[in-house]
This record gives sequence, C-alpha cells and structure tokens, in this order.
Amino acid sequence: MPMMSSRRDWANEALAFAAQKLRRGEISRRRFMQFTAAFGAAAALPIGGALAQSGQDSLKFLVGESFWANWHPYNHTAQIGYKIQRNLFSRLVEVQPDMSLAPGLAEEWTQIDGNTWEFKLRPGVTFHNGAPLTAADVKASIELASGHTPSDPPLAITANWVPHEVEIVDERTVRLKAASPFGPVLNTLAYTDILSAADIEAGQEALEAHPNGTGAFKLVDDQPNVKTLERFDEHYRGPAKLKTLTWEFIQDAQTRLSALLAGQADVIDRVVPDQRALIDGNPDVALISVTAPEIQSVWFRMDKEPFGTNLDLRKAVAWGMDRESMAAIVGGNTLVADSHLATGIEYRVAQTPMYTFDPDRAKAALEAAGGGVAFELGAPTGFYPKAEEICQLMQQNLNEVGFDMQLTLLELGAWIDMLFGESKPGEAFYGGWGNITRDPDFAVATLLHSPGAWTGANDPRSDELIDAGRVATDADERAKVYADLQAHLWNDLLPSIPILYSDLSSGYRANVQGYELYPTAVQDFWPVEIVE
Amino acid sequence: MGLLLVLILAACALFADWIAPHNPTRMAPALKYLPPSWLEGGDPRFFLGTDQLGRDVLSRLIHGARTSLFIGVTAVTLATLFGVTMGLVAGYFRGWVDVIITRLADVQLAFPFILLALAILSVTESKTALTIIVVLAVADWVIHARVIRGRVLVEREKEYVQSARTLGASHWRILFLYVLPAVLPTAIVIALIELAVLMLVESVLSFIGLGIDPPAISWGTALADGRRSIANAWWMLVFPGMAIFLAVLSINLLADGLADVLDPRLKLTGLARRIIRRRPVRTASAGREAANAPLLAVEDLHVEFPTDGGPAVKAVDGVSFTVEPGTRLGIVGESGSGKSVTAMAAMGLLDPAARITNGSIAYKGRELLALSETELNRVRGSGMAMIFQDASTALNPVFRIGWQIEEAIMLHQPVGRAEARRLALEKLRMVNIAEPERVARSYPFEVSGGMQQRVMIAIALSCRPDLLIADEPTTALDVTTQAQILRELDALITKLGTGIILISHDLGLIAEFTDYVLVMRDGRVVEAGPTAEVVSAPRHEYTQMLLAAVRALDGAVQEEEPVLVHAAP
Amino acid sequence: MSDAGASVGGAAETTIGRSGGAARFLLRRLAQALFVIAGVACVTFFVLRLVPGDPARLMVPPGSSEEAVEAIRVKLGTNLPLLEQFATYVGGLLQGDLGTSFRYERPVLDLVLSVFPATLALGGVAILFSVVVAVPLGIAAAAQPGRLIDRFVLVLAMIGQSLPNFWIGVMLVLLLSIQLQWLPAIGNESAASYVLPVITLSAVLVATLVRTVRQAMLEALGEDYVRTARAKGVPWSRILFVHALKNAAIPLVTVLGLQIGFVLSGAFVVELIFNWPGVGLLALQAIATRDFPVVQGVVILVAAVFVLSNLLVDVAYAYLNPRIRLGVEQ
Repeated sequence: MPMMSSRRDWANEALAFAAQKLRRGEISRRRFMQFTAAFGAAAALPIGGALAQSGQDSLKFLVGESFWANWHPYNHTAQIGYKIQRNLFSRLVEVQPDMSLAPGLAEEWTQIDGNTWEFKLRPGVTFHNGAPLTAADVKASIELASGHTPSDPPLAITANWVPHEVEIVDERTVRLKAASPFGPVLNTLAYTDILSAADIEAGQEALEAHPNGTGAFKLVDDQPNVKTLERFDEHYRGPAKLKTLTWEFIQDAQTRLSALLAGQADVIDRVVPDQRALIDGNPDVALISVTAPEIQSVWFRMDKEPFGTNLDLRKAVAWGMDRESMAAIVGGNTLVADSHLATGIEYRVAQTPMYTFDPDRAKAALEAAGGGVAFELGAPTGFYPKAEEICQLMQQNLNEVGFDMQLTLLELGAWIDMLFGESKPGEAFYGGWGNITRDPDFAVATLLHSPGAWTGANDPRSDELIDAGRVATDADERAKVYADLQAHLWNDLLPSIPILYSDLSSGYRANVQGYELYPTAVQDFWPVEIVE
Repeated sequence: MGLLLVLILAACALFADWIAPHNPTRMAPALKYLPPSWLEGGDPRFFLGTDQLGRDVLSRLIHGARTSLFIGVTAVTLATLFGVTMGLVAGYFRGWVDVIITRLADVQLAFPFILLALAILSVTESKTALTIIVVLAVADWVIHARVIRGRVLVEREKEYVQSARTLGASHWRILFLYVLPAVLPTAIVIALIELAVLMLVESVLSFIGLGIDPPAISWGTALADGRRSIANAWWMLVFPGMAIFLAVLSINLLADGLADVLDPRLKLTGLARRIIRRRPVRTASAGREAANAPLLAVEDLHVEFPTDGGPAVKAVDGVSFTVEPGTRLGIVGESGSGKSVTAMAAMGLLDPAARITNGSIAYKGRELLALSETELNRVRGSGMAMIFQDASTALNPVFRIGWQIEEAIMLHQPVGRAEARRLALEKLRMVNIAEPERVARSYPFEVSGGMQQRVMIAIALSCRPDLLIADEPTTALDVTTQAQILRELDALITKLGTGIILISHDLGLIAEFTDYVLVMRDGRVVEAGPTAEVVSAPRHEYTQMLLAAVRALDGAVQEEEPVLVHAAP
Repeated sequence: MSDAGASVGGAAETTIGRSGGAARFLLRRLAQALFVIAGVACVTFFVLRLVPGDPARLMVPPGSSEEAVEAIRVKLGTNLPLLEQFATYVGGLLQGDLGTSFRYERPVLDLVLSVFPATLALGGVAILFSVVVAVPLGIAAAAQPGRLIDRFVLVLAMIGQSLPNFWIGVMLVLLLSIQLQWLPAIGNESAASYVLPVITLSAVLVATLVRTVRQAMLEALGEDYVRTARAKGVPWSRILFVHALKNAAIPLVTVLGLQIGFVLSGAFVVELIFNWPGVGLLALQAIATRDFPVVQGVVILVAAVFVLSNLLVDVAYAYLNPRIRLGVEQ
C-alpha cells in the first residue's frame, strides 16, 4: 500500500506540472492529452481536477523595472522595491487602492500631541523566520528608518522622514515622538516596512542579504531577474490564495504584452496605453487602468541662463506647448497636468491659467522676454512612456513660436548623469516623478527644495512653504500652505512645467481574480486567486 | 531587375523633397494612427497611413531611403577605403605588418558588434548620421581587409607582379598600379554586398534603440516605431520592413549581377563552369548482350554541341568502328578532332550540353544509348572502364587511395570490406607498386604523378573490364614514365585479355601499342585500318602530316611537342 | 557582420598549412586565441570607461548628496584612478576572477555562467538547425542547377538574406504566439519555446549556408574526380553524398566558422525580442545600469567562445582536408 500511494503522488505531481505547462502555453493541448493519458490511470484522479487544482495556486507577474541588488528595504527609491516589499513585509498602516490608509500591523492609532502618535499593535503577528512581532521590532524599525538611529552613509528613506524616537509603552503599544513636528507621518509609515529588531541588530549586510518580513509571501528563490515568492501560511490576514508568486523582470513593454497574450504570464505591469487595443480585443485578458500620481514635466535649469532668471521665457514655453496633444499621445487615463501636485495627492488644487496651447500668446511672451533663444533639452529614451514623441512635438511647437530648441535623446544612464553629474549640460530636461504616497511633502521636497533641487532652484519662498507644509500637523493648515505653494509654483516660479499625469495600466489573464492596481504603482497579491 | 530597383531607390533618396507628398517630420497628433488610404477609416491624403504622431508613413519612408542609403553608402565607402588599404598592405608586405593587421581584425571580430556600437554611440551622446556611419565603418572594415588580403596573397605570387618586382618597381608602385587594379573588381562586389548588410545592421541598431536621433528618419527608426505601435498600426511595422527588404534585396541582386561580370567567384547564385547532370533516358529498346557481337560497335555516331546563337558544332560526325575482344584500337587526331568526345560518348560521360543526334553505341550488342543511368552504372567500371589523362585531378583528393579502389571493387563484386581491401592491394601490386599498403593508406597528393597514373589504371582494371578506354593516359607524365607505364599497361591487358581503345595525339605511341587505328579530324574518320598498314602507307594527307611530325621529332628533344598537337584535348 | 567572406573563405587561413605538425598547429592557434582574448579584455575595459554614466549615481536616489554618491564609488572601487582600476582588474583576471557585479552584488563569473548555457543552447540549436536545413537544400539545388528546385532555393536564400531578422521575429510572435497561440512568445522553459527564436536567428544563416553548399557542390561536381567516379559506375546519389559532399564540406566549415561571431551578435537581438535569459539580455541590462564588471565578463566569455569555436573549426577543417592535416602547402 505505501508503494502504491507514493506512485500516485508522483503521477499527480507530473500531471500538475503538465497542467501548469498547458496553462502557460508551453505545451499544446494535444500534447497535454497524450501526457495525461499516460499518467491519468496511475493518478486515478479526474483530469479536470488536476487542472483546476494546479491552476489556482501559481501566478507569474512580469515587471518592467529591474530588481534592486539587495533587499535592504530602507535604502533605495526604486518603485520595484516598494512593489515587491509590499508583499514581503507589512507596515503599521497600509495604503488602499483609493490611497486612503487602513490598519496594518497597527490596529488603531491616536495623535497624542503635535509631535506624538500612539499605535496599538496587532497581536499574533509572525515573521517569516517564525519569530513573533514585538514592540521592540517596531521601535528598532522606525528609529532606523526615520534616522533616529544614525547610519553612515544615510539610508535613502531617511530623506523622507524626520527622526522619531519610539517609546515602548507596553508589549502592544508604542509611542512615536518626533524630533520636530512632522505632518506626513502616517503617509510615511505607510511605506516604512517593519523589520525584525534582531535583523537590524545583525547589521546592514543581514538586511541586504534576505528579506524577513511579516508579509503574505516569503522569498524562496532569488535570481537576478526572477524572484520566486511562496505563500506565508502564518500571515496575520490568513494565508494568501496563491501558493507561488513569481516575479520576472522584462524590460520591454511589447515583450511583456506578448507574454501575457500568449498565456505565458498571468499579470503584467506597465502596459503602454496605446497597446491596449490588443488586450481589449481579446476575451482571455483584461486591463486595469488608473491615473497615477506620477507627473511628467519639463524642468528648467534654474541656476543657468537663459531660463533661470527669466519667468517670461518660462511662461512662453508653457504657452507654446501643446500639452493636450502630448497627453493624447500617451493616451489611456493620462490627464493634462494642472498643478505641480499630481492627481491623488492630498491638498491638490487645480491651477489657472491652464496654459492651454496658444502660439500667439507664446510669441507675445517670448517678445516680452527679449526674443527667441536657443536651448538644449535632454530627454531619456526607453523609460518614460512616449517621452521621445512628446519631446519631438514639443520641439515642433516651440520652434514654431520662435525658440531654437535642440533635442538630445539620452539612454537612461546617460540622462541621469546629465541631470545630476557635475557639468550640468543643457538648459532644460524632460523627466517624471512618481509618488508612492499621497502626501504632498514627498512630491515636492526632493524635487524643489534647495539645496539639491532637481532644477537647481534656490527660491526662499518655495523652501519656506515646503518646510511649513512638512511641520504642519493640522489638516487645514497644511491645505492652506500647499494651496499657496501650488499657486506660487504655477504662477510665480514655474521651475518646471507639468505636462501630464501618467496612465498606469496593468494587464491580467481573465481567470485572475481579486487583482487591484494601486495608483502608487504597488500591488497586493494577498487576495489574488486564479479561477477556472 | 536589381539595377532598376536600386535606381528607384536612389531616385527616392535624391529627390525625396519633390516626391514625398508630405513633410515627413510634420506632426499632427489629431491625425495619428490613420490606416492606409484604401482601408476603412483611411485618409486619401495618407496613402500608407500615419504614425503615432500623425506623420505620413509614405513620406517618412521616402525620406528614410535618403538617410538609410546615405548612411549605408558612406559607411561602406569608408570601410572599403580603409579595409582595402589594410588588406593590400597586409597581403603584400606580409611579415609583422600582416600579423598586426590580422590580429587586430581577429580581436575586433571576437568583440560583439552590438557592444562596440553601444560604446561608440554612447560616448558621442547624440546619435547623428555621422556617428552611426563611424560605428558601421569601424565594424565593417575587417571584412574588406580579410577578403582583399586573401586576394592579394594570390595576386602577389603571379608572374606580372614578380616581373615588375625584378624590374625594380617600388613596392607602392606595384601595389597601386598592378595589384590594386587586379583586386578592384573583388573590392567593388564586396562593397555592394556589404552595403546590403550594413543597411540591415542600421535597422538592427535602431531596433535596440541606437538608431539615428529624430528628427532625422531612417527605415530602422521607422521600424522601431512600428514595433512599439504593433497593437494599433500594423502598417507602421509592415511597410518599413518591406522597404528595407526590397532595398536590401535589390542591392543583393545588383551585387550578384556585378559579380557575374567582375568576379564570378563572389557570385551568390552562380553556376559552375561544367555541370554534370543525369543523362536523359532514351526509350528505345536496349537489347540484350549477345555472345557473338563485337565488344564495342559504334555506328554512325553524331554528337553536337549547341553554341550561343550560332549553328550547333558537330563534334562527332558519323563515326563508326568496332572493337573485338582482346584487340587494341588507337584513335589519333589533334585537339578538337572529336576523339575524346567519341570516347566520352561511349562511356556515357558526355557533357550535358552535348546532344547525340544520331547513331548507335552497342556494348556486346547491347545499345548503351538506351540504358538508364542505373543500368549504365552496371556496365561502367565492370564491363567498360576508363583511364583519364590527368590522374592528379581525376582522383578524389579527400579520400585515401585504397578507399577509392575498394569502392570500385565493392560496387561491382559481391565482396565485403576486408576482401575488397585485399583485392585492392592485389591490384596495386599488379600495377607494379612496391609498397601497396603504404600507398593504399595515402591520399593522392602524397604520391608521385606516375604513381597516381598507376593508381588510375589499378582502379580501371580492378573489376577486370572487357574494354578499357585510355584517353591520353600518359600525357601528364614525363617521357620516361610515359613509356614505362604504357608498356606495363600493354603487358597487363595482354595478360588479362582486355580490349583497349587508346586515344592519343601521338601517332608514335599509337603505332607502338595498337593493332588497329582510326585517324580523326574535325569529327570525321579520315583513315582507318590495321596500324601497321596505316603507318607504313598512309593514304590521307592528314595522316601523313601526323606521321611527319613524329618523324621530325625522332631523336630530337622529345619534351617539346610539335605545334600541331601541342594542345591536348 | 557579413558573409562576404563566404565564397572566398578558403583563402582566409593560408597560414595553417605551414605550421607543420598537428600539435604545433594547435599550440600556435591556442596562443593566438589567448592573445585575442587578452586584447578584447583590454579594449572592453577602456571602451566601457569612456561611456558616460556613473554607475554609482545610478545606484542612489535622484538628488542624493555628492557624499552619498562618493560612498558608493568607494564601495565599487570606481573612485580610484583608471590605471589602478585596470591593474586590479587584470590582477583578478589572471586569477580567474572576473570581479563582482555592481548591480547584483554577485561574482560576475557565477552570473555569466548561469546564463551562458541558454545562449549556447540557442546558438547551438540555431547552427545545427541551419546546417540541417541548408545542406540538403544546397545539395538538392546543386544536383539540378537551373531547375525549379534550384531556383526556389536561390530565391529563398536571397529573401532570407535580405530580411531584417528582428522583423521576422516580431512578425512570428505576432502571428504564431499572439494570434494563433501555438508557440510561446518568451522564455526558454520548454522545447517549443526554441522554435521562434531559432527560426529568427537562423534565417540569415540558412541563406548563407545554402548558397555556400550549393556553390561548393557545383564546384565539386565539375571536378574530374566526379567523372572518374561515374566511370567507375558509382551511382549518382553516392557521387552527390559521398564524393562531392566531402569536398564541399571544406568551404562549408570555413563559412560556418566565420558565421559564429555573427550568430552570437544576432543572439543579442533575438534574446531581447524573446526575453531569452542569456548573455545578450544580461549584457544589455548591464550596459543600461553601467554594471562594468558584468559587461566585461560577458564580452570576455563571448570572445572566448568565438575564438575557441574558430579553433574547433580549424580542427574540423584540418580533419576534412587531408592536405592541411598532413601539413602540405596548398
């Protein structure tokens, strides 16, 4: 009898494997039938059952950004990092698809005073290595991420925090005390993963080597371009429906789409909107699409002639660009930008004028600014959707109103070098900024606060407003500050001209259920399942 | 065909501004992704539709021809100039110059091209026509250099170069006045072939994002755009692809046509000079072998070779003769007299262009002209065998001598490999080869000319044929070996009772070794009869002339053949 | 880059004949191979350093301080003078150490070797497939020159040679993977996933080889030894497949050797289209992230494969051509 059962196990496994291959399109249905005919008898199991069972618990997800070299959750700003960490780790509060915040590892929280918040921790949470979550883990995590525990060089995430000391009130209660008032605290906690104190104690290299979180999935295989995750059965929300979740990096958007259409992937990230026709026409696949809080802009070098000192010239550019057509080139849910804060960001206010394409007005502004100038604009290729086309249209638009715009297309690496390298070539550049939280501080502090602003701007008024927004902890106060900031940026400073808010689209096989796309470009695979 | 297409292409490139219906860079986002005009939703203004920015696809293709051709032609010109110079220098001077250049070429060939392109294109920041030309030229010169070097290695050994050198011409003078013109046709053909290749490579570069920057348009960038728009604008992918395909195809065709004129060895689709094809099978009944029939009976044989435009040349014009078992027939005549054609016709080895218009060739009463190739193969080698004049080319260079004899044996005798090997050694011994084992293990080029001819004879006699046709069997050998081999052959066939047809231009040889003789001229038999009679009392003046030539040579230096018979058939 | 060498390939290796014995010949070729690989290693190092784009800057968040960037440079060792970096690199190479990937923080050798089999398999299958298709077609064409089959083969070769191979690949995916769902569009997980990449990669190679085989067969069939064979009564099929083919194999092998480099370059593009997890994909990613050690590793290994396969071709050439094997000047 034991012999018998082991044989059956083996046959079942073979069947499941074949069924998986069939679903992925690796073998034809006919081959599959031959295969099942050979093993079906031994398995003594209905063929349909084998199909359904194996079909439900394995999902392949193709992403368009290469994986980070190490697993330190606090030391990168890569979107891909936040995406995969969302599934490996948990946070005190969690962002929802509507960008609101919901309880995560914290069941509830209260603000004690301007600088202090208290969090009640969820009981019975376990790390992947089996250790239970304690208040000490939360303390160690927040103090490291916020910069209270110093590290050299500073961790990337600390730029978005102010130092917080964490007081352990009891085993289930912690109090976060900010060194200075910090408005974005909840939104920032929503992307600050909680690590184990023991791992933090073990040092940076331990954190880089392997992710040990409390998330719904744990890492089981770590290849440079393929990460295999497996269901973590003790996850606090209960086990996920998928058993295996494979992430694979495929840079080329067309290749990802081909794989989805050929049945070789279940979910793909970053579908270029004007390729959606292929998905719309196919009943086996579906598209989910939102407008992301991601903003594509032309940035002026504010520390250089001719734009740095000449607002009229910058406005001439704004009036002279057909931004509506540019948004239409990208298509999908792309929106024409009307503020330096993208859709979905808190305290966003649409600005006027819209800078609707008006060549005559641009010509007038150009004359007021002292006539046409020659300038060079650097744009990255192969990264932001349709950047090449948008910049070409921009060139045509601007040269028609009297500018002499030179377009330099750069491969991403060279573009970053151009942007931040020492020589700072060019007078303007095209680029995008995605937001992983709806807090406006994240959207403006890195880009526009001096020193270190992308534009090289050194504008006391905007610095003052950004600082005020960060320390304000009262919602009304923040709303006012950010309204002022947006108006100032839009009308008085115009260090960059926002062009559009990006479309964010993801494709999936029709049998994938429960998949939701977050505007912040992350996804939570815990509720996802594959049905027949 | 190729030329015509290339001309159209060149016209597109030159007159793009006039031909193109629209400004190729004019963007009109409202008109994006319009399908070709003949499809639903198409706009008659845009014949091949519009792209993702509402630009006219046709106009972009026409202007793209200019960019792609300009890049290709310039790059290939640069690569040719540099590569040919390097090849000339390396091949001519040899020594360390050659070593440096070929090693450099090797390093470059081992370097993945894409990486080279990426490195160069990234260093320059902007990708203009110039940078792409440089990339292509840098990658391509190696090909030109290698080919030209190979040609120069051959040329420099030739007489005209050697004599120029002895006359004291300077190296550079020799290189550019003598060697260069000789290799120039090759260089031109290679340049055209490479032009086609570079145009493809340009499109590959564009495809991986290393194409020329906008607003410049090349076919490659159009194709790359097309791939990104595959979902909603197939015309953006298909038409540029077709354009590249047609252009490259026409350049290839042109290169092929040019190669025909300039350097046939480079022709991609060339035919060989001499082609052997299966004989057409005649349906006439072949009959059976008859015991009382002569060994070979040729009757009123007519063979013609068609010529370009003119009337067919009658190579054999009504020849008849018979060979009885064990007799020795000589056919003598000068080059073009039809004696070899007659022999080939008998063996079924005529050039496919030849036509047997009339006559009969019967082996033991069986009509050979009616046999299929398979039936004929049973006769050839076993019943009738042939010795060719130049054994150095008639033996297969890549098979061992023993193998070549064994093959003949195994084809006609029901023996295994071991037995065949034993028989082969026996045959080699039979033709007086001292070390048959060593020779059997050797390749033909490892043994002397006389030895090669003996091997030929061994092959021919390996299955004891009744009839042996020997076509100038010793012409390629020196005089001493000639006589020796002929005497051995004579003794052998006498011993075996084999009949022989000996074909020669040398009436002296014929006189010594044959019983009967046919004298042939211009495809006709001018005189026939027992050899002794013909030689002692030639009736035809042509025979007398041949005889006089032999007599004039008697005792004189025999290496110098008479002018009359100098060119062996 | 091209196959122009095809019809003249025979002349390319005239130096072999003079080197005498087989061992000396092999040693000499090995020394040359090492020289080429060393050259490639040096060129790669310096060419990559010319490319703009600071790997350290690509590893920090946008707008990070100069100190943060410098800290990464120190970690990567890119802060050192170029010659010092070169010395370290050469030192490592001599010990078989190709360095550590900037991006993946793993030994380059492991990384490259983990993806190398995929590329070798793709290239190997493509070459095998090309030979298997091209040789019979070339023979069939040469057996009946000027006839229908010959014309068909020539037209096919002309088309194969004139189509951009990535275009073929994209069209095949569109048709066979997306529309008909017959074959996988990406990856190398099953035998079926080899079909499209191999066809894409082989198109040009088949065209080149078919022409080479046809030409070589035609030349061989015109030789005197074929007439001798016919006079011996050798059947036509045996003349084609034994007598002529063995002679025609010599130029075929030469051309094949020249094509290996082009197959490897072509693999880069094919891997991109089909997301084939091989060295090409790795290299293109590494270039984008300025992961110099990985790019260097890939280039050195590709060069080594190229050089070694050429060495193999030389050996095969010598095997097929007794004149060379026995050290006789042609």
